[in-house]
Amino acid sequence: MVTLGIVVISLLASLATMARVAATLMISVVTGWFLGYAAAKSGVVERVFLPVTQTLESVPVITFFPIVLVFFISRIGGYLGVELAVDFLVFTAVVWNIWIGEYESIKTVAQSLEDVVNMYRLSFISKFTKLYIPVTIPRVAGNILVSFADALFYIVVSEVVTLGTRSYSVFGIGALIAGWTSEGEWVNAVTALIVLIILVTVVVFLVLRPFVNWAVKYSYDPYVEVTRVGARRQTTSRLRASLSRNIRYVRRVMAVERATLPVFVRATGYSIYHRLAIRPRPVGILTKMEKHVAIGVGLLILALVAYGIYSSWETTWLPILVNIYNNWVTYLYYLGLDWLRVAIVTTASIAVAIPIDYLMVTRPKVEAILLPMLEDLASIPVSAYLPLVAVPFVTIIATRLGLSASLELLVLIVAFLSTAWYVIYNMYVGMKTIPRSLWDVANNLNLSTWHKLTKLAIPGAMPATITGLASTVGSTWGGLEIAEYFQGINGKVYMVHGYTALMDYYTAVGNVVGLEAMSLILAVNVILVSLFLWRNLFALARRRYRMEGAITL
Amino acid sequence: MDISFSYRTERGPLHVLRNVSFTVYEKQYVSIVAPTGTGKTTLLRIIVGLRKPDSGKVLLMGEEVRGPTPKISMIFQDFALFPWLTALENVEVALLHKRLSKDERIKLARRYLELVGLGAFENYYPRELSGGMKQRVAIARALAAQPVLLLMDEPFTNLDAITAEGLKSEIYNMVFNEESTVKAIVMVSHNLEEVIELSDRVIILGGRPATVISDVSIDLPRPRSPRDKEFQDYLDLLYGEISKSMELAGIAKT
Repeated sequence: MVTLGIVVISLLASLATMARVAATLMISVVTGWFLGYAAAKSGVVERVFLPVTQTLESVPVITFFPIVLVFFISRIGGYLGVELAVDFLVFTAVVWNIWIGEYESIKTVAQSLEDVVNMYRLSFISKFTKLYIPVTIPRVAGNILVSFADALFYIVVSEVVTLGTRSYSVFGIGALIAGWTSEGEWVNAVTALIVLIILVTVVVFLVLRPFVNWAVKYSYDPYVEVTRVGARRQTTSRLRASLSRNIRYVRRVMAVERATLPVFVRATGYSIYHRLAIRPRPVGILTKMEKHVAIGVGLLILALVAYGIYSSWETTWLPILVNIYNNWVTYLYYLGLDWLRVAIVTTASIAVAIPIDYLMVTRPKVEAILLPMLEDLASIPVSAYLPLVAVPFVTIIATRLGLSASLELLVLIVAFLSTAWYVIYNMYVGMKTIPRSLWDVANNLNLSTWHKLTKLAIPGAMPATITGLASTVGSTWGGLEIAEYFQGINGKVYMVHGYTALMDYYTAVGNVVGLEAMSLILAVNVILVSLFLWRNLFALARRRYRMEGAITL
Repeated sequence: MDISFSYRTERGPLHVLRNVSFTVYEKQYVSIVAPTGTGKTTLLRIIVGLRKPDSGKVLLMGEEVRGPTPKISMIFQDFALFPWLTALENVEVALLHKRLSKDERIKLARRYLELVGLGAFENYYPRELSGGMKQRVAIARALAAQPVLLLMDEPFTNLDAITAEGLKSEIYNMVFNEESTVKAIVMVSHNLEEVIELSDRVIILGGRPATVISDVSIDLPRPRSPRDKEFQDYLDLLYGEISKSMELAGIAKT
């Protein structure tokens, strides 16, 4: 029997979780303005900022969470320590993407607008409020859906963590659902999940969508066609002004927008093409002074790192290296296993995405039903419903398939659920932003569905798919992390062979050295993947698949 | 002024302007004409104080221009309006550096919007305005700064022919108006007909790095019509000078 108390406590917990999401997003956006500005204006800062953010962007942060937790709990401790650890984790999950977007927006601000603020000698604050902050808004809006979903995912999963023999948790919907599930309080858990889903839906449709719609006015395109002709009657009151604005908004949504690109698509598409089309290069030339400063800063950082390693060599680094030396075969084998899972899940997501997206792009009715669902579904964190989804896999299905096969299936399904929405969504944005004229040509030439797919839709969706891949793979890792090792009913632990499972295990048994060793390997792995895979893929997307004029916001 | 300028590039300095020098007198409408890529916009940005020349200096009424000053205002090819600000707020940007109260600022901005004929559109955002209206807002903003010298970087290029024609016939009166503080205009253009229609003097840049090739006074009564014979004579003269400058650029390349 669902009591009002359960609903209220679920609602409060969901709001607490949402507040964390909102706070971390805000902090990311605000810090990004200043860092992005500093990087765009100073060659020295840019040279540090770019490689660091671009590498960290594709890091599956969740895998480093145990280390973060150990740090915060040992240094700060208590509820505050755990709270800060959780917030910090979410911050690192969403911040890079937002920072890069803001930096790129500031870096590529129209020269003439910058000239205007300099010409009229605007103060530093005026420059920020009139120019540098507004130009970042379309990119923030374009990423907002993914950032929101990511933040929610990580926050929900990190609200309860076991470290050694102790379990730490903060008040939030993730902790609530996990707690009720492990106690076998099914009705409560499902109620809490429903409350969360409703709240997410409300946020997506009443906060994020209007935000994106509003953000459209911040895009700079001096040559856009006039949208309304004729003088409007002067509005005399604030109330009437806002009323007419809302009516305009509704009218636009009802009539015009159906015929053009949906707002989210427009904003995301803008983000992707902004990223590919006018991706700024680092300043090519540094003055002598700047070179000296850069070398000085670089040497200082190197010296600090060297000193750090030297001073903690005996206590930290040596044990880590010994641990790696003793276990490297296991670690590499598990890393390989997890990459294999990532590959399977990514391929499956793309395979599912292609027909769904093609249907959505070519059949408006399918699109009208699926798209809002997709936007909403993408934001409901798998981590919240994992405890419930897992139940049949450790009971009914396990008796049929055997426990290990059943758990493997669960891992793949959860990783798929953490990934598929993003892949579907990114590909859809890609296909949707293919210029109308190309579809007309394809229809005019009577191309078969197969040819339309292979010659137009799939290549056209490439840039969006590829740019999205770096972050979707991060989500896949997140999915693996939560599903490879989890506490089921009555606190019973289930795990499969896998890298993140072993990390979780080390966390649970308090093997800090092993944990640090695995984090180090993962860090190296991430940097290598970033250097050799993502950069090449991005370059490919830019070189081969970019369509001129594919998107105008 | 006597300006030289080069860009720092990965292949060493690229010399763009060499000893460019000319004087603009009061009540003059001066046009700078040159082929694309000659460095016209760069020259304007140097004059307005947004870039520093390698050598030489810009003098405004005997005083050196060392950085952006409200006495020089510029109108841009792409209008450079802030899409997130209304027409009125865009004009206000030019007044922010003055320590005016908000009411005074709005009053002043409104006056200039009315001067360019957009009094009824102050709450419109740039995207809700036509190209011609956008350029009018940009003109109002430039005038609101109360400059002595007004610079215009190909102000009619992004307008359709009919709108451009209308604005051209009005701009002279808008700028040299009793409410305006502008004493002289420097416009950059590559449309020779427009240049003859509007200017008192035409300065032709050419060569690589560019330098002043020719300085032609246009002595025709206003309003001017391209159908007049004298107009056509000036056109022929300018075409001749331009081809000379193109040849110079060709020689510089080889």
